[in-house]
Amino acid sequence: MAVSFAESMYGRRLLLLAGIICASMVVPIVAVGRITLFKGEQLRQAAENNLVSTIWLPTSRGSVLDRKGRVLASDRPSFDIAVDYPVVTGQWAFSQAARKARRANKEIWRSLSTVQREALVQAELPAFAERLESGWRQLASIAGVTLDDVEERKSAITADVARRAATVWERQRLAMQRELERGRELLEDVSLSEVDVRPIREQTSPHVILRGVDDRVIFELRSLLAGGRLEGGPALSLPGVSIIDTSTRQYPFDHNTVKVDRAGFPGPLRSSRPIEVDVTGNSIHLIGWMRQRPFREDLEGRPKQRADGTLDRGYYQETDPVGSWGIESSAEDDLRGLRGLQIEQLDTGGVVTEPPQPGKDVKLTIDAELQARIAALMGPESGLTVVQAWHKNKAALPGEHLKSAVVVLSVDTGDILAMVSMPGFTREQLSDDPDSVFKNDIDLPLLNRAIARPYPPGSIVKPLMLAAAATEGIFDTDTRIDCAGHLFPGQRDRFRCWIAKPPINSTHTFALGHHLDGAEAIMVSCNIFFYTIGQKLGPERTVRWYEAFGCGPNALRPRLGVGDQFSGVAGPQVKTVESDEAEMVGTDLARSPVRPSGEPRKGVSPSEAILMGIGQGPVAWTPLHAADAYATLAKYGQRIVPRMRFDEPARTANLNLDRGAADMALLGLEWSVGQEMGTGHHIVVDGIRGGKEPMFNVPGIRIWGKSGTADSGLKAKDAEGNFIRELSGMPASVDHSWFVVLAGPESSGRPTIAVAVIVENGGSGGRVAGPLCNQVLRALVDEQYLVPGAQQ
Amino acid sequence: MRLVNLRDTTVLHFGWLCVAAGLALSLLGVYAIDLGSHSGEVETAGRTMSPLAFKQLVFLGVGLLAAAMAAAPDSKFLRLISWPSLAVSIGLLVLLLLPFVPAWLVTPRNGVRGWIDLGAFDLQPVEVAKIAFVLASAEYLRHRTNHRTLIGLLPPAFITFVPVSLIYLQPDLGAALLFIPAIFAILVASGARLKHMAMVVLIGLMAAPMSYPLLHEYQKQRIIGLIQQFRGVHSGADDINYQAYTAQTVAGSGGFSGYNDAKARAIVKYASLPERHNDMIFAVILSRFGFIGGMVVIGLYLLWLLGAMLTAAICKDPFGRLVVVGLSMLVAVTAIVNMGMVLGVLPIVGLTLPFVSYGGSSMVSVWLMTGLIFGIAMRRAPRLVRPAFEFND
Repeated sequence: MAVSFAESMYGRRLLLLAGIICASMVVPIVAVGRITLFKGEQLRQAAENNLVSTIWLPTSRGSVLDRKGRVLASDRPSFDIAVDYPVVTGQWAFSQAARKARRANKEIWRSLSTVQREALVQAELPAFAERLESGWRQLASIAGVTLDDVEERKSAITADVARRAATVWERQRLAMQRELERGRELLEDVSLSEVDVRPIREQTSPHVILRGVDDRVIFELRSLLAGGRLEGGPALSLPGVSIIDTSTRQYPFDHNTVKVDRAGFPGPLRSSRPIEVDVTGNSIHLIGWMRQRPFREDLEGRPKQRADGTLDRGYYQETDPVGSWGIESSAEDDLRGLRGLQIEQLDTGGVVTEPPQPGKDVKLTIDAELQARIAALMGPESGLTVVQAWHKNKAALPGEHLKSAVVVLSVDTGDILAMVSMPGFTREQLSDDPDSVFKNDIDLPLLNRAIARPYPPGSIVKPLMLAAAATEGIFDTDTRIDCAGHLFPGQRDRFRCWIAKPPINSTHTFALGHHLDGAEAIMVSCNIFFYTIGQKLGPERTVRWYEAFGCGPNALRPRLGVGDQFSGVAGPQVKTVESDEAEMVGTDLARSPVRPSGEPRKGVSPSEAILMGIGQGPVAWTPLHAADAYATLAKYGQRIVPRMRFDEPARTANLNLDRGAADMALLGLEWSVGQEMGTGHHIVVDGIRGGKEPMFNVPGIRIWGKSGTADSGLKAKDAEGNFIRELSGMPASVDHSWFVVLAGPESSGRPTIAVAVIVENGGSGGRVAGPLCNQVLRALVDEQYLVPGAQQ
Repeated sequence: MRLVNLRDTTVLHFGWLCVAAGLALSLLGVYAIDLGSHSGEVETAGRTMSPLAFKQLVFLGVGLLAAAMAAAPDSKFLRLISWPSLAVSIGLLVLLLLPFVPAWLVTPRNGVRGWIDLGAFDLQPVEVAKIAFVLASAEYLRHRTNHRTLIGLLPPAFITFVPVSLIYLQPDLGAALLFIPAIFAILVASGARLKHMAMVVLIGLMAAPMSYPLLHEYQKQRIIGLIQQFRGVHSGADDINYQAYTAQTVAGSGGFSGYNDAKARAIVKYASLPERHNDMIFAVILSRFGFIGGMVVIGLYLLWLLGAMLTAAICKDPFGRLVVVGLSMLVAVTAIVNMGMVLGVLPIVGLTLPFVSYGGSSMVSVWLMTGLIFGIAMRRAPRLVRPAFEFND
């Protein structure tokens, strides 16, 4: 029979069809094998992952504190209280009543009519409605708001969600209509009833009822929510309540009002009436700020799983704020806490909780009050950094606010007590007008001039060169040098002393009546003396000593973590700045690595070493370098690398300075501000008491100081654009004004504080930087860092 | 005309294979529906089960009753009602599309106008149309010879085109496309020239890409999603391929022998697999019983098809032969497509897994088909029969 069946056409066709079906069945057979056997393990893992509910518990970011424990940056605890939408609308009561009625009448429910069912539900409803009402009253009472406030908020939510739902459903209806019209002509519009309407997300999610609730309320609420799980404990009768952490970063010292006492100001600015100065963006260069989203590098740099497969609870999520600048950025790993983790096995109900670990606090060495005081002094309101007629500034018009920077350093610890750069910027600018910060190529407010802007040191290096030369043994402290007005006989235009200006062409030897020793040379800032020192030291030793004092890419550098930091230049190196942006700023002052002939420079030439003896030539540094070097000098070469964080271990180096030379340098510094002939002794203010008044007027404080003129390399021009000629006939330089001081109580034999001040394009000498430096010292007295007359 | 003449019937026949396989699949389906649904419990015979599973059990009872009723009439009666039933089916399909039909009678679901609300239950006319179409096609072709010419293929094509186009307009492309393999199988069995059939298939395959622009956006998305799966692109895992990937994850998690009952329930519940009690029920079965369970299901379908094919083989009545072939092809293609879409080898279309997926219309329809095959199988061959479908190729 089988043969006859197979021989018939029908039989063959049936076999053909059976064959096709069997062949088709091979597809699911193979696919089942592939998916269950070959990919089974992987898919099993994926499926079982669904059984685990992982809830990340929020942590808090550590605070940034100043040296006195004042909070400079902290997370402001803030919470929103949200309630499930069905609870907000009251639908929850109906659902619960219906459920209870159905359960209670399980046996007969199916046989009941709609009306009968409705009656049973209505009977259960009041209890649940009462629970809701009582819950809302309870919530309002805890939060300290009226029930009317809560009702108003509920109404607003309901209206908003209804409006959103109507919009979404209408969009779905239109989409469906368009879809159907593609297949056939519709004789009538699709109505909403034909669309499979699903609840929109807002109808199933919680809504914020109360915003910005403080932690007291949250504590109470959490207790009640926890009590709900404990038998007999007080509980919140309102269901569906959740607490949302909406903590924000706050900077309490960002805005300060500082009273500036002008009694010690230079004559034209002096007043018995103090002024109040609003300081905004206090310490913003140092503290930095946060950005609201991590970059891809952040996400990749700290992924959820470490390389060894373990979980990093501090990993970045897409909505995590991240430190973007300053300490907020550099201390990110310390400040950032670790989230808590609650792992619930959904099928068994087992819960394992790992509590969150808050971020560590970071304590800075700066004093926020001192920062604010110094910022107020540097602002335009005080007038100290505003061009005055007696500044004799050739490059700026009277009234112009000059850019400046101040660093205050503790000599004994290397702690940076203050670091202010002007102009600064505000957090409002960052959020409202970021271009005014990031794209302001004229003022460069983002640039922290105290550490990132290279300046030629000028004469402030002279005491350092003296100590270096003596330590090297090429200069005896008894040695005196003749200031002839110029270094090389017969070459009046080269290596000239600042005093030797035509037509008088005076000399310091003439002015003092004898050859100069080291202290006198510092007092009068004699160039010839220090050209000679530079000449004797020679290129190699000069560069080495600059580096020993902390200037140069090979020097032991502070690790401040407050943004771009210029390492200093001592020699032909160019790439010395630790960021592209700062490098762009710095290279205009750095010497080219190639000579004009095209040959690469191999080192410092002897004539460059002579220039470096007075802080000019291929050398540039920052106010921090200056303060650091002076503090090192004050400790006879025991260098403590400046630090910004208290938890940073001290890094030290010993330069083993010749003690006699260091004492001579300090004596020169003291004479510089204390002797009539000293370059830092007085300022000349026309029309006031003969126009001459002391640079420093801080009673009870002993001061060692040095002014400096740093040739910026630019030449001054008048309003028509013509170069302004000096008496020598050469175009006048646009100079930066330096002043660096060491200070301590009058009774003390040693300095405890180093202050470096620079005013960009402030003019020659210390007539601009000096008065500002004086006021910084007064601020240090006010803040108790210098105690007049006391032994510290 | 007597509906059942016991003298013409036999107890031992291959129809039992269909019933046995169908019953096993249906009970497995009830269990899988219970496993995949979590909307409460109904107590049945001392055990609790989900309301959906309970309803499916009821549908199974109705389906068995329908099968018994379908098995009762002989082929004369079936031939008699074939054209009227197709006409009624087409009428119902037209009714679905009429714009003035009140919403209480025809309520679109997810944009598909495929159900008529009859109060106690929803009637899905496409299920009726499938059976009526097979009956009418078989009646038309049972003693015909002109279908061996190309022109002669036009009437069967027209018989197919009418319901297919009406179903496409619902729009339910998946169900509409089922008619094509059914008529193909009926034509092949009834002796249509294979070269003509090959030509039609070839033209169909060539024309298929050209029909792409006519597809609805969601249909295109499903095809794109399938291509993404083949290429290993996971970008749509949370979007257009969410259902597919979720189904594969649940299905593959069963491994070789599957999870125990409790674990499988948890896996299915927390995977949030859409349509888990319906189109995606095969994934639930694989999760519970793994590879072995998958093979058992496929084996049961093969058993059902074996019973149907053996019935067709020994059947002497040309009408009966074609009915069995057509219905077999409907069930086979539906099962293969459903399993294929769950396993990620075919795009997701709205086809249920026969006997197993939740749904009254589907359950009653597939048991009606089983009943028809059973009825044909249980009837003895008449003494004298004219050889059918024997042509010279």
